[in-house]
Amino acid sequence: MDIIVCIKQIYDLGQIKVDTASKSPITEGVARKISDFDKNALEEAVRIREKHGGTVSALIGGTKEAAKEALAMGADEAVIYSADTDSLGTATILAEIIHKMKYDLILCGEASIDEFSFQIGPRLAQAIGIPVLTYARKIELNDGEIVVERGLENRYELTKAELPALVTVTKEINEPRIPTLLQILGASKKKITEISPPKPEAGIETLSITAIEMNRKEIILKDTEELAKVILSASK
Amino acid sequence: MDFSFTEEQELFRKSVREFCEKKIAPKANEIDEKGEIPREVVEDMASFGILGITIPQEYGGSGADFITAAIATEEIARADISMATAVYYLVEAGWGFLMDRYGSKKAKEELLPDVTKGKTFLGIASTEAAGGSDVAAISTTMTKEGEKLVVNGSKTFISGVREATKYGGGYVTVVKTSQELAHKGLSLCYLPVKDIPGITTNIFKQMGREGISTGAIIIKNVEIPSHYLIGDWNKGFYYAMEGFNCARPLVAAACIGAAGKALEAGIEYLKERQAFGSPLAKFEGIQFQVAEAYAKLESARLLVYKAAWMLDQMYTKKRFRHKEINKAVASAKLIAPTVAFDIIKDVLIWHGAYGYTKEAGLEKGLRGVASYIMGAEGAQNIMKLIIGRELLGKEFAPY
Amino acid sequence: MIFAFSEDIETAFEILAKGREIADALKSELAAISIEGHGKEEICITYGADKVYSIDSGLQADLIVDCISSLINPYKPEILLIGGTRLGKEVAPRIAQKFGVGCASDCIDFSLVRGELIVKRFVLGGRFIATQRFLRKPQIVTVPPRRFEKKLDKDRKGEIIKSSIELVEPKVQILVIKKKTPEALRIEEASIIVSAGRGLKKKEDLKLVESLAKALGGALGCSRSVAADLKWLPEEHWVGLSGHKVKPKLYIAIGISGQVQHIAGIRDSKTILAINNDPNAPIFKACDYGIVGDLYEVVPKLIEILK
Repeated sequence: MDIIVCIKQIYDLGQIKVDTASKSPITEGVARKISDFDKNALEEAVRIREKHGGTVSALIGGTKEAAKEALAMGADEAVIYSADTDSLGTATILAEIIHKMKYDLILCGEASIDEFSFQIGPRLAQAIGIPVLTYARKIELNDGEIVVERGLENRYELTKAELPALVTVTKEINEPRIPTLLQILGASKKKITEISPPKPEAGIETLSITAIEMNRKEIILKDTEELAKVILSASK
Repeated sequence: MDFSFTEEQELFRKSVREFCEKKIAPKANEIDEKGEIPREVVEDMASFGILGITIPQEYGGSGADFITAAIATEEIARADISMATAVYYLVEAGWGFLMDRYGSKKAKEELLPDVTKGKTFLGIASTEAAGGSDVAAISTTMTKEGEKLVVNGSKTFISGVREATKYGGGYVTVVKTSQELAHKGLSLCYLPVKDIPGITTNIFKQMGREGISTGAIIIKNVEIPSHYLIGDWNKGFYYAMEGFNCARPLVAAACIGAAGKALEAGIEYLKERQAFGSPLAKFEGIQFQVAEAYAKLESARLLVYKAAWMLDQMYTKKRFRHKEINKAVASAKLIAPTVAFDIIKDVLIWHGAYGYTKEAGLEKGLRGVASYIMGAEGAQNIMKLIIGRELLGKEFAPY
Repeated sequence: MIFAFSEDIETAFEILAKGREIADALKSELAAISIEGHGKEEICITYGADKVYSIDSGLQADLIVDCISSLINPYKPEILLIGGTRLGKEVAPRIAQKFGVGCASDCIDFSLVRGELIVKRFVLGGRFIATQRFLRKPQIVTVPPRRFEKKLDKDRKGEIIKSSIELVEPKVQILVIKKKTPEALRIEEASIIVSAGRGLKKKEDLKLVESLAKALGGALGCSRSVAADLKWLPEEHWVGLSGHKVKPKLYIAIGISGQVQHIAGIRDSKTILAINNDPNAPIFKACDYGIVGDLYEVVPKLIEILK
C-alpha cells in the first residue's frame, strides 16, 4: 500500500499579533507548524502502513522543518514545495506532483486550521479523477477497496470505493503521535526532496486581511444574582 | 563557536513541549495539590521515551546526551513549575546514566528496563542525618557477608521514597565500606526499598515540589546481592561526584524551565493589566525588572547548556578535565536556582494579591525552586566550595 | 445568471435571499437547483428564485457535481452559491476545480463592486477577515448555514424546469447510514451552550456544569483541553476553531481561560458570559458579562437561583 499524505505547514495561529495601526496580521517571527488535521492524516497513513506494509510519502507545502517532523512521525520520504497560492493553485501543483508518483491511497486533513476551507482534498481528487471520501473518522482497507466511515451533520455514513482513492480525515480518526527522541534521530537519514513547481494560476485574489474587532461589553458583575438576571434575559 | 541547537534538538524540544502541554500541564495543579504525580503521567512519559532518557537503548532508554536531557528537563519544568515532575525525571536521567556506566551488567539488565518503562523509580540516596554535603562523613555501612552485601544505617531527604516503596524501585546509595579511610572508603550500591526486610521509611511534609515525596530510609541489616555493588569497592566517592556532575546541570535546567515559564506568564500579565490608566508594562520600574529577569535567565541558561555540552564533550570526545567540568557544573547549579527563585518571586509580585493565590499557579514554582536553594543535589554553599577549591587549589579548602 | 444550491432546505432558502439581492443588483436571474426533487421547488420560488432546475438524481457528491456541472455548461452562471453544509463544502471545490476557478468557503458577507463579487471570510484561525475577489468565472461561494435570514414572498412567480442528465455510476457507494444519537447531535444547533474548561478539577465535576446546562435547557460544551487532552468529553462537545464553531443566543464559559482558538469558535454568539477565578483570563476580554470567582461556589448558587 503506497500512500501519499498532503500536508500544509501553517503559522502557529496563537502567536500571530495584530498591527495596531493597520489591523493587519504580523506574521514575522511567528513559528510554524503542521496543520492539525494533516497530522491526523499522516498518523493514519503510518498506521495503515504498519498494518498493510508499503510506503508513506509526505507532500508538504512548507519548509524542511515540517518535513523533518513528518519524517519523525513516520513518513518514509518527504517532498517539499512552496505553496504561495490559493486552493486552486495548490490542488493544481499537487496533482502535477502526484501524476509522476505511484500510489494506492491519498490522505489529506479535512481542512487546514488557518483557512478552514475544506477544499484541497476534494479538488485534488477531482483533478486526478479518483474517488474522494471526505470527513473520514474510520478507514478500513481490504482487497483493493476502501471502506470509510464518514461523519456528517446528523449521521454517519459507511461508504466504499475502489482504490486508488483520496480520503480526507477528521481529528476523530486518531491521536497523532508526538515523535520521540529516537524517532527524531531515526528520521535524520530519510530523504527530503525540494521541488519548485512553476506558479500555477490562482482563482482568488486576497485584497486585504484585517483583524476582527472585538465588540463585547466586558462587564464584570459582582454577585451571582446579577449573573442569574443576565442569564434569564439573554436566554429569552 | 556556535550557540544554536541542532535541527534534531529543536524538533525534540518542540515534541517534548507538545507532549508536556498535553500530558503534564493539565495535571500540574493536581500534582501539587494531591502531592502525587498521577501514575498515568509517569506511564505517558515512559511511552514517550523520556524516562531514563540517558540510559542506552538496550535497556529501553534513548541513549540521549546531556544537552538533550537538559532540553527535556527544561520543558517538563515549564509544564509543571512545582518542579515535582522535573525532579522525578531528572533524578533518573542523571543517576540512570551513572548506573549504566558503572553498574554490573546483571544489575542493569535486571533493573534498568523497569526504570525506562516507568514501572520502578531510581533515585539517589546520599544525604544522612548528620549532614548531606559532606559525603566523606557518611556513616551508613556496607559489609561483605559471603555472597551477599549487608547494608546498615539511614539516609534522609531522599526524593521519591513513597514512589519507590509503593511502586517499586531503589536507590544509588552511597555507603561506607572501609571505616579507616575517609572519602576513599566509600562505595556505591543499588539499594531496593519495596517490600525489603529491614527497610523502613518516613515521609516528610515539605514546603514545596510536593508531587514527589521526600523522606528518610532506615536500613537495618538489609541484604542485597553482590551484583548490586556499583563499580569497584571503595571507589564510590568518585562515582558519586561524577553522578552529581551529571544530575546538577539537569537540576539547573529545571529551574530555568520553571522560571522561563513564569516570566512568560508575567510578561503577558504586565501587558494586559492596567494601573493608573496604562498597562503595568509601561512603568519603567517594572520594565527594568523584566529586562533584568530576562538577562539573568539567559545567563543561567547559557551556564546550563555549557555545562551539559561540556559533559557531552567529555563523554564522547574525552575533552575537558574533571576540574573544568566541576567548575562549570557548580556554576550552573549555583546560579540557576537563585535566578529562578528571584524571577518567580518578581513575577508573583507583579501579579499583586492574585499572585499569592494558588489559582494563579505561580507560587508552587517559588516553593519548588526553593528546594534547590536549600539543598538537593548539593546546596548553594557547596557549589561555592567546589568552585573555590577548583579556583584556589585544594590547599585552600576549608575542610 | 446566478445559481443557488443547498440540499439543506433551510440553508437553500437563506442563500436564495442573499442571491436575490445580488441578482437584483446585477439585473440577473436567480435559479435554484433542486436535486433529488425535494418537493420544495415551488417554495424555492417564494423564497426568491426566478427559476428552479429540478434534476432527479441521488443526493451524493459525485452525482451533484455532475448535475450542477451539466447546468453550468449551457447557462454559464456568473455566480454559484452553495450552502456550506459538509456535503456542500465537498461539492463546491470539486466543481471549482473542474472549471478551473476559485471557490471562497464559508463567506460571511458579499458585496458587488463593478458587477463583481467581493467576499469576506474568516482566515488565520478566525481572528482575521480576508476580503477577496475572484479572478475567473463562475464565482463559486459557499455560505454557512444560519448566516443570512430567509425572506418569504408568497406572491413570487417563477418557473420550474425539469432537467435530466445521463447519470454515471458514482465512484463512492454508500453502504449504511446511521443517525447520530441525540447526544452526538450538533452543538452548532443549540441556542444555549454551557461549556466547561480546565478550571474544573476533576471529570466528575462536569456534572455541575451539565446540571446548569440542563437547568437552562442548553447543551454541554467544553474547551480543547477537556475534549482533546483530558478526554473527559467526546469530540462532539468541543467548542472552538478546531472543534465546533457555535453561535448560540447565550454562551456560558465556565473555567475556560479563553485561548484565541476557543474565542474564534464562539465569536458569533449573541451574548457571552464567563465564570473564572483568574481575573486576567483572556475570556474576560471576550465576554459580555463576567464574574471573577470560584466556579465551585458560583455555579451551584446559580443553579439554585435559576431553579
